Amino acid sequence: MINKRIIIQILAAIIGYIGLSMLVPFVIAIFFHEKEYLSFLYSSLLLVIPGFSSYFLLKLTNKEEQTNLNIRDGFLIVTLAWIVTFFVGTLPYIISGAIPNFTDAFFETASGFTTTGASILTDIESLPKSILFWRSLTHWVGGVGIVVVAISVMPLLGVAGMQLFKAETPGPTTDKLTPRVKETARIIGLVYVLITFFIFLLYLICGMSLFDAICHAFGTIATGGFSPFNSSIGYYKSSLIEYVVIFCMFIPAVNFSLHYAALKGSFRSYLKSEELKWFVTTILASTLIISMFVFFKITNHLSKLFVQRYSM
Amino acid sequence: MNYKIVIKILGLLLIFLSFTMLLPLPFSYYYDSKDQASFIASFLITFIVGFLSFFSFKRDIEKSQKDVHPKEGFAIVGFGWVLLATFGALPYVISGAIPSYTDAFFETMSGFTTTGASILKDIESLPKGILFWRSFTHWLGGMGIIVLSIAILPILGVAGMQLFKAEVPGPTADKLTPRITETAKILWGVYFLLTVVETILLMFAGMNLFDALCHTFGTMATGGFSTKNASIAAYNNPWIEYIIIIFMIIAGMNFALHYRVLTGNFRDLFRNEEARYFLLIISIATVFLTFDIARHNMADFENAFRYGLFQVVSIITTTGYGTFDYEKLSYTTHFILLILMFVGGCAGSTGGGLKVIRTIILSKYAYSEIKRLVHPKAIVPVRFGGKAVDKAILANISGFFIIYMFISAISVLLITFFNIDIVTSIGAVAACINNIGPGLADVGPTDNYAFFHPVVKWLLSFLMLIGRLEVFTVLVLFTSTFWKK
Repeated sequence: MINKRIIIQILAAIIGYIGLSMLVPFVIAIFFHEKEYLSFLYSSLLLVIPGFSSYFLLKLTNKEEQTNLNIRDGFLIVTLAWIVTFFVGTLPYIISGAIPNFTDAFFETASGFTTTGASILTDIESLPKSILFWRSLTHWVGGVGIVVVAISVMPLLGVAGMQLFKAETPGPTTDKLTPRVKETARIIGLVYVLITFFIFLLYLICGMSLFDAICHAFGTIATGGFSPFNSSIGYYKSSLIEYVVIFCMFIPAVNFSLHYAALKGSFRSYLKSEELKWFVTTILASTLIISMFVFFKITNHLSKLFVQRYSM
Repeated sequence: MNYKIVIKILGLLLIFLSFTMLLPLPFSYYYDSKDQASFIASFLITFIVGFLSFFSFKRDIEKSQKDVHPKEGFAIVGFGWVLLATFGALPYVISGAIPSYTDAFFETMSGFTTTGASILKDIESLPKGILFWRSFTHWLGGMGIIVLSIAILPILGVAGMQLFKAEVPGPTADKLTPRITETAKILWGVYFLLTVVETILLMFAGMNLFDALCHTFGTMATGGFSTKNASIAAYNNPWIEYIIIIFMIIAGMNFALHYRVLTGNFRDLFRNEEARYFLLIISIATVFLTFDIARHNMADFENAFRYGLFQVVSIITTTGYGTFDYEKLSYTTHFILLILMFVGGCAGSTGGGLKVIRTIILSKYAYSEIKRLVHPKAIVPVRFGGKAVDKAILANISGFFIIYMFISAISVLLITFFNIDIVTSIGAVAACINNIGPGLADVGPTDNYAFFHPVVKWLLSFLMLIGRLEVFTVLVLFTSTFWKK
């Protein structure tokens, strides 16, 4: 049987937390004296009040001592949580009028939380800073969600190929989603926050403004791609920033359990990982090919010999 | 590896090929097409080379039969096909019909592998003898020239089994009789019979003997070479179109099944799960294409249905004949056809592609994985044709699919090096590895492959071979374990 009650309870809590996260752009809006602070306040209240109140109501009336979740509930919660998040995440865009069309707002939010980075916006720079911040924040929240789900929940659900973290935290013996998930999730969350801060500092040092550094750090750590500028990182025209961004993009694309191991002091695990080896090889090979073509396009001598379409 | 026996049998194959080169001569003389000398010269060259390699080793072929293991089988079939295309290109070059050897090799490989991709811009200007040879390469390659030699050269005997397994497509070898020579004879017998029937029907519908033969070769082999620039559209004759549709469907189905039906087991036709899926896919795609053609107001309903059905059958059976330029239709249609290209015909047919059986088993396998996630402890067998599919076969099919797609992707990458757009590149690769002929964009049904860089032509020729021999037979020759003692 599907445990409807506990599923709704968890979803309500997630809605509440998303509402809470909207208070951060609320503060940003006040800081930049933007009138959008009201939109964020309304959106936040609209989610926090019903979300948390129904959560506690359900929790208090729950007579069962243990919350037993089986694998089916797991699949349902993970999928529904993402969809619900997409819906409620559109509120700031719509209330502020930054993206008045619901379909567009949903697309932008889904793109944000899934760390896709595809946008329906034509002029990003014309948007208020607080909205831009929310846009990048959806990346950051979605990013940690993906890592946590991938590393601590998916293995329990038996989704293949995600069992790598088990080496660090031995896998469960039952098919119930119980305390170990919490522990694993907490560790990954911590690693995520630490790396975000590290990237943010690097960006700040190489010349980004405080606001831009935060937004870009969110976009980078989540492998998202939203930027507060129309021309993305190209805006800076700085090779230093480009190299730093390249390095930082590389970090979150590596298995987080390796980072965790490294933070605990065992850097060797990077060298031992076969997946990482292939990842680096693929990057180097592709870079070589593309650089060659960029070079030939620019110089335009050899391209005539080699790349030209053959016609007689 | 027993090189002597490999070279000896390859020599035998060449001798066999050389005699088939004499077959276009009657048509050449009848139409007075001035290409007789080229066929005789090609015959002599091929015969002499074959003769020398056959008799250069003293070992008697019948005694060394038991030396033919899977390794030798792969080597004979793999190199045999390359040799066939190498020597089969001679008539084109000697007659001057296709002066460039690269182009001639491409055209021959396209013929033997029943691809039907052409580098020719004006087909009708070619001498009739050459046109006959072009279509005849389809017919030889369709059921497999090596299977044919097993059927008619009894000296191959026991060695035949290894060769048969390496050349006949499909995940499981469908042996009709315990003796492989018998199986080869039955398959070629059915093939020959159907060829005769189609030729007669096409002549009744209005073609002359020459055109009827050439188009029958193209249909039964699921090849696609025509004697007309406009392909089947040139005749503008619904009867011809319906006859060819029916025979393309027949050629796209398992020939072992045809044999059973011919010997009275009609029920097998309806019980065969692969055939049912094959017909189902054709029906669904035809409905879509019919409406797409009608929606664009390009034809009335009967015409739209006939055009739709013809293009769908032509693509899924990997034939490549055309009566309608599908490039004029919606992008959705392009993509549907691209998927059909990869699905291909049934196992044991003359068609190419992944094969219907593999596509269906893969889909069922994927679905069983989803079921297994919800019930981790349940055993979820993949069923096909009422039986649980063996784990080893599932692994083989998955591996096949991954290698197939990987080779396709790498080939698209290599072609884009020559500044060719992605749709054209994907179309060309799909059309060649699946042995179809017409692809998408610049290699669509009204275009040809002449403009490609020679390197691309060699690459595409190689893809045709990989597709025809179903990847493993060719790729195994490139592994180090194959050449180790």
